[in-house]
Amino acid sequence: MTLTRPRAVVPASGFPRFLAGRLVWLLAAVVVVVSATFVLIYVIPADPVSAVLGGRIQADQIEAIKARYGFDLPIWQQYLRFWGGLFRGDLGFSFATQQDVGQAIAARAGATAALAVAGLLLSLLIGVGTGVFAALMRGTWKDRAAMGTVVLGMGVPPFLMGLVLVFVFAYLLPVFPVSGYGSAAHLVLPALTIGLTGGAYYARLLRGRLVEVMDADFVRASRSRGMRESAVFVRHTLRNSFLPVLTWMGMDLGYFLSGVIAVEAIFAWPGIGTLAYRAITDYDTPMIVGTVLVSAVAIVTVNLIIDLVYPLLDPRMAHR
Amino acid sequence: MLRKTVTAAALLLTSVALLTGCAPAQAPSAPVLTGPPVTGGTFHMALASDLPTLDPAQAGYDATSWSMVVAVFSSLVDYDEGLGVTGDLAETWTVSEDGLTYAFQLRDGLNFSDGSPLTTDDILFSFNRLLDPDTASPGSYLFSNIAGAADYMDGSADSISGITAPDKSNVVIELVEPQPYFANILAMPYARIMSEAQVKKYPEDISQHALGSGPFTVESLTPGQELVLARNPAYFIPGKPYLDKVQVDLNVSDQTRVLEFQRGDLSITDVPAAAYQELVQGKDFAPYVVQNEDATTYFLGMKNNQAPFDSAEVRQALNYAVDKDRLVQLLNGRGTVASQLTPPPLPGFDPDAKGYEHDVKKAKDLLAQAGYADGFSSEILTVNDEQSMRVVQSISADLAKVGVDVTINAVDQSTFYATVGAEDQAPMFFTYWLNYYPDAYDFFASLLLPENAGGSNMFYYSNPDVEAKIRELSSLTEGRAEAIQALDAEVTATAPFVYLYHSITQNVRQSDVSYYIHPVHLWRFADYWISGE
Repeated sequence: MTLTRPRAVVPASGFPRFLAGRLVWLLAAVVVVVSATFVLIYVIPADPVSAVLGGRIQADQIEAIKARYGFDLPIWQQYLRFWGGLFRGDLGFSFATQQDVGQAIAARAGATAALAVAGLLLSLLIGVGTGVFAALMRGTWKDRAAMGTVVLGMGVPPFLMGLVLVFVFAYLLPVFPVSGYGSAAHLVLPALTIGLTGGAYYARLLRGRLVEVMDADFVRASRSRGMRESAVFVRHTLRNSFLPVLTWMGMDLGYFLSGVIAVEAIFAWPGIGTLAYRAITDYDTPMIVGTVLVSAVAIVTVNLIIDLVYPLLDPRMAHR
Repeated sequence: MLRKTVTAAALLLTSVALLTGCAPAQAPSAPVLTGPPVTGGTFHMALASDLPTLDPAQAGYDATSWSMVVAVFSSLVDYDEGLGVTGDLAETWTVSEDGLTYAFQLRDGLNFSDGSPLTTDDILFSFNRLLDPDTASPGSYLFSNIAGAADYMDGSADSISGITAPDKSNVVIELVEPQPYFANILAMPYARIMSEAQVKKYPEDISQHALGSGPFTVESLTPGQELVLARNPAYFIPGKPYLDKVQVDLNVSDQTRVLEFQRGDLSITDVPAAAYQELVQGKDFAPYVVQNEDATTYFLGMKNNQAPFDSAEVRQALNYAVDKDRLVQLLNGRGTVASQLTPPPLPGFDPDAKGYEHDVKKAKDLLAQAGYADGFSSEILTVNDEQSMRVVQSISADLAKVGVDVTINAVDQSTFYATVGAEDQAPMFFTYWLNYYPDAYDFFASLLLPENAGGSNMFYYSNPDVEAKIRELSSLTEGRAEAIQALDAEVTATAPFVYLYHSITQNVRQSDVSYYIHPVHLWRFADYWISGE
């Protein structure tokens, strides 16, 4: 398995310049994403007030309420107002949910972060465990059984996995709560849903890479130098196989931090995903822009951090 | 026990009706009570929806905000367990003979739930805030009949001249014209009394800091997640509420609500279509089904000002074409066929109204008369939920039989409401009207007056004779029910839309929960209790 993602290149001229470049890239990404979102809002000519009150009260009252919230302004004015607000730390007001967009997102950030981290850890635990097991057992029925299970895990959509887990562990054996947020017990089933469906990718990725590296010349060389098999595996094989896993982790974490909608919806998990989903179905434009912005920042930031971690695993990267 | 039997009998009738294919008997909406009231306990429920706001002035037209606002805030007058209006903050009130002056005598020693006194200043403040253009309340127009409201709302007056407090325990409201249902409007969530001090302290996020004098106080509100209400220790009606706490989980999916109810975690649940057999017909819960005949009318709307729907014959033909009994069957019997606009629970409903029977031949004849012997094609806009889709598919099959070929345009709820009123869109659409206050005037005025065209008059219906009669009905006190029946018959003859059905809501409760569905405010936590068997 080869790595297709463009790797971070830290130029010899120094780390500060690298970081500055990446921050500029982050800002550019934010501007592009927000602008693209505004274009999409413009293409869909509906507004949050009509979406809630259309067909229910007089048309001119709807117009008056739109004017009160500034939804009657041309889209370019709304666009400028958004940036003006953002510089004051104000993401705007959500008409559909009657709350400040920034506060709404902040209130859900904790739940999203908890689920993202727990889900990622379980994915890794399950994925790395299965991947290493299958690679060590390669060619045997145990390998095929493990990888067969993995394919099943990849094929099951998260919402179905969630429902099965709820049925088994909350209804048949009432060990965990069906849904909700608040205690560690509430976190188990949603995180496991992510772990079981997401872990499968890591297992496949890692097994493929491990099998490739196990036969590489430098590994055979270490072995022939008399290194113990376990040490060879941990210090050479595993370490050299981990880069694609790290890349995938970066993408996963960024994605999880913008909210795993399917899982949040099943477990009534109060995260950013359901907030964004509701915003889209409500035409709640300020909330759409706010959640898109936060997701973009999360994805870009996590990728920046991953880029900084690469050289620790693979010193060659620091010199390129 | 008697009431349980009544519910079971109604269910039995429903199933018989289903088997025989006719409309079910009308369901009683009496409270289901188990034994004498018991104090204490937590009432736990879960909703598919969010709770948009606890600010009375911002309560839109969603059931969740209405019920929760009503639990936290009091009003001058409020509903009893049915459609009757009774004193709330006002101990008594009188209406002058000309119907223009409402004088309210307040109870003594009224307090907000934090112990601060509730004064006439708070009452005047709440009304002025509600009608303030800057508040932009979706409910403000309902109060435009108060003297001086129009001047205040267009900015030419500093306050509403028609609301005054002659002394500390009296409030007087003057109206421009008599309005027999004005007390009903006061009992809506909008005119709930807020603490002036609290609103001034939290001008931006009063919903997060709701402070009222209702039966419950907000213990915690986590937007998008849960609302926890606790008994208001300072509540002015001794002995109420019975419950210590009410927990409302928000944004909970259909499957999860049903599972949590079956596990015993929830006190009640609604009945999603997929769970109908298990919850309503299964033996475990069937005795605990609670139902309410909603004040709703479902219809297939048409743009009356556009061809071919500008022809009354075409609109009448479509009324004959649709098999309404079949629709009620599709709803598992949770509805009754609509033969008029006024729904069954409201005064003026005529049980003998004829409406349009299912008659394909008549439909074809009328279409031919209108010059559409070969039919025509059109489009039906609908919300894409499972039940609406089933109904609209059945309608579309019926219309095909008379040569009317429709495509179904299924969209999410927001898209539906954002586009249904546009004159050049949605030639046909499937939706409903639910009463804002229990008077048929709401149905006639909202749906049929020309000034509401493009808003709640989604049909662009215009009929000068009907219009004059609706305006007369607004202030009519004598013979109101008869006038409603006569007007309804006249409107039905003009067929502004295809009359479909009035819905019935079913919930299921745990055996020890005393629960009913309020016909206007849905959930009235103050009246519920848990017997703790």
